[in-house]
Amino acid sequence: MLYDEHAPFRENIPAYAIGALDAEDIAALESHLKTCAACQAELAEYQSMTIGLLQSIPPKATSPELRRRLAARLPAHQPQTRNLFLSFFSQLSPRQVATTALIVILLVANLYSNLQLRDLKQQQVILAQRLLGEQVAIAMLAYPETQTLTINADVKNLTGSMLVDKGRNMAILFLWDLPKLEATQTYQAWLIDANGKRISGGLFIPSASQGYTTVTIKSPVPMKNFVGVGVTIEPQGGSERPTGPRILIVNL
Amino acid sequence: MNFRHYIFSRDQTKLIRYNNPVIPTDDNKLIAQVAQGNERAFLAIYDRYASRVYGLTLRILGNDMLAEEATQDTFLKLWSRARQYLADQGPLLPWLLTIARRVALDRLRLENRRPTLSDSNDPENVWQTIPDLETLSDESRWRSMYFAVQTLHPDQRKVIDLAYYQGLSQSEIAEVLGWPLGTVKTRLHAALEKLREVWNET
Repeated sequence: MLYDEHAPFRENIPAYAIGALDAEDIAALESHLKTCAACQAELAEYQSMTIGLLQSIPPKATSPELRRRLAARLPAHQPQTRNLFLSFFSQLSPRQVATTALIVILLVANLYSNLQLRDLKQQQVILAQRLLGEQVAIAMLAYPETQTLTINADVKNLTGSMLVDKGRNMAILFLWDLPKLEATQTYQAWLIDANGKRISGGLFIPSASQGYTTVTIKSPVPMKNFVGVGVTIEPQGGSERPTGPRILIVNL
Repeated sequence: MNFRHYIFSRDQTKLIRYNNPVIPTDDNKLIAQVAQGNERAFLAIYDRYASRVYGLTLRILGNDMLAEEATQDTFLKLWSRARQYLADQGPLLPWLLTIARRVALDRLRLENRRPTLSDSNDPENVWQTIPDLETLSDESRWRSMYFAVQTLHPDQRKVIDLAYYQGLSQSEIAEVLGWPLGTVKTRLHAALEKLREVWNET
């Protein structure tokens, strides 16, 4: 009698077909199946039969509640998490999608341009103020009565000078290495009279783009009415009288 | 072929016959619509096959509540996997029942804390392993199969039940029944051989 080389594998095919073959036998059978058409055909017959087994179970009526629960699990009945953006686009033709996308791109570009324009305008205002200060400073340098006074700094590295014509209502401060402030703070200049009374000479912040800061101090009366100019750190918006630390004083 | 329905006219005075353009009767068209997210098509499939799926999951799990959950999970898988269904390779019901069996056995293993077994009836692979699905839609064949199972020797029916509807391996069946492994193999082999003959004859 001839040895049937398929026998060890063929006897495992039915169990394999219904998923009952032990794990240690599966690898050997699957390896054999790859090269054996006869065993593949036999396996196919058993697998076909297993589908018959599946279908042989008599139907059983389900509860109406199950259908309702299932329907409630479908996306349309879930809390609306579907992307409305995608839903909107899915209803459009390709041409409409392209047009809508173009409009969106233009709107975004326009918004970006507006933001850029706003930043540029802000920079323009700052530059204009600085230019005015520089022009006033140059003009004051030309005045015969203009004096250049050295500042007395209360903070490290701060240096500078003040141009003042005591007969006029303004003075110019040039400050180098003015310390940066927190967003909630501002520098405030004070005009000090002989009685020690202080009136505000204006608010300013350090120049971010250059090493020095030019400050125009405006006074309601000629500068000769004052004995000194001081600068303190105050809360944003300024104070009615000095409340924060002094960073410099200039004696007139 | 489309369903024919009757609806009232706008003034509610007469009935108008119309063809429902949304819900076809053909499984392949239905599943194609499900793949596009059509919930009415999905529920039409549910109405058509829920009792078959529930019958199988109840047979495997033996518990109404667990069987309903498995039925629900099966149809949710159908919803999410509808695009994977290959209409030209065979009817929908065997595919659906293969998913249902896998879902129910997974649930059974979870409940019994048994390890997952390798199973050649994985729904992902089922189309590649079934040679002739065109004939499977014949209801008389699975009815014959049902009676063939009922006429098996009780010991053979027992091993079929544990192997196919409980997902046990031959070694596990031997342990559960206290039979020698060789006996289990012999009875399972004989039972499946008989069922194959019935299946091929019908």
